[in-house]
Amino acid sequence: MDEAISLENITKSFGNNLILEDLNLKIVYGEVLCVSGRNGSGKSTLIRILSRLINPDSGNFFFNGKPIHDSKEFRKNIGVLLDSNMLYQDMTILENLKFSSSLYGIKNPQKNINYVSELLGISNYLKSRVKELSRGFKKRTELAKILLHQPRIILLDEPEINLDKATIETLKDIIVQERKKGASIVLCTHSEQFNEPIGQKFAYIKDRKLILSKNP
Amino acid sequence: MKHSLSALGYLIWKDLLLEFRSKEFIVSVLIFSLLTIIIFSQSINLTTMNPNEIGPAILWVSIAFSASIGIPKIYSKEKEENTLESLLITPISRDLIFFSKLISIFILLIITEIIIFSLSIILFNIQLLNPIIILISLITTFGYSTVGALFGAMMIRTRSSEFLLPILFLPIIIPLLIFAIGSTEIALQLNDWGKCLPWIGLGITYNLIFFPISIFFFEKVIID
Repeated sequence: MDEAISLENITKSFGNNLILEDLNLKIVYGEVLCVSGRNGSGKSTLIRILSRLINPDSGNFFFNGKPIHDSKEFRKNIGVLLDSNMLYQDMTILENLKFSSSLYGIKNPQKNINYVSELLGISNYLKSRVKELSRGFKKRTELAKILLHQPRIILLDEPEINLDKATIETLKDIIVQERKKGASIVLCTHSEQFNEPIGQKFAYIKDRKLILSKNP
Repeated sequence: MKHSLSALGYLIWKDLLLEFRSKEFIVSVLIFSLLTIIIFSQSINLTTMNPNEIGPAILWVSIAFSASIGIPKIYSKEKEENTLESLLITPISRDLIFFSKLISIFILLIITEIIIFSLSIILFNIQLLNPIIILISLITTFGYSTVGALFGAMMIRTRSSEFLLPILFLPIIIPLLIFAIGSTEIALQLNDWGKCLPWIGLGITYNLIFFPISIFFFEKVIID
């Protein structure tokens, strides 16, 4: 299978605090990697490095088997759910999704908006302002936003937070569906609900290194 | 190119929509500058002083101070709601984010200047509806917006941004302030394009220096 992202000897520290050291990771298309680890082990830092929001202190980053020359091309292909807020609270769900579509240059945004809002069960709330929504609906909207441009690489940082059991099941279905379509998915989570088989590989971060494991 | 222009349009639309829903920029800039102008107009004896000499200084200083209060508001949503990261992971050029902030600040400052100019005409009895002064105000506002878009971005990752921005912003715009006050004074007294041209050249030169510098540093400032 084709390689999506590959990290070689990545080291990242914040001040004197060494977070990741000589971390290696290879993700191929059509694969789900479920990363666990204690609080502060560096899972969110890993997602931020994978999405190139922060640069590592050292190490190499490859996309499609090559070093990144066109960062815009890379960003076009990723969908990232961060642990921080990703929505404008004073805008409606529809305005947020339209705004996001415009930044990705989606030609027929309404079609994509209808699809993702149906998928996440937010189609009846499109005209509600984000600040009026519950946390669960905000998270659903964030998920809709990252799937809008049909990314080939999906990075999810603790997606289960604020989601009820039924929506987590929907999310797992989406993950399976996207994997079957050939997307590469990295999921950082504490939740045991993602331990059930959805075709994923497991890894955990320990002592600043990523260790692959057969079991969760 | 077409996609970039469309994305720029949407970025500006987003900033203006959020501003018109919160009204944070317009209200803070307008109230501060109106208060400054009213206090000055009441504390100065306009019968013994020439309003054409004192008016431009009061006008531009009040706009500069109030802009330094308003500019952080344009970035406050990105800061408070932590949405900058979600902008940075989209495939748009970071320059577009800079241009959108610059244009949004420019539009909002122009709207507030229209109100401030109208009040100054009444209070100081000065003739500001003059093509030279309109050009001066466009050059000055562009300069304020350019420097403001850069320094506002710097403030996203700092605490006490509303206190820090004026400290950094005001010293940098001093040359622009000298240009705005000097050229408006000449325009009011002489209404002569020839006499104003060297001043206008100074304002344009300031913008030609700070525009590329701001673009260059913007990406470095917003990336962690």
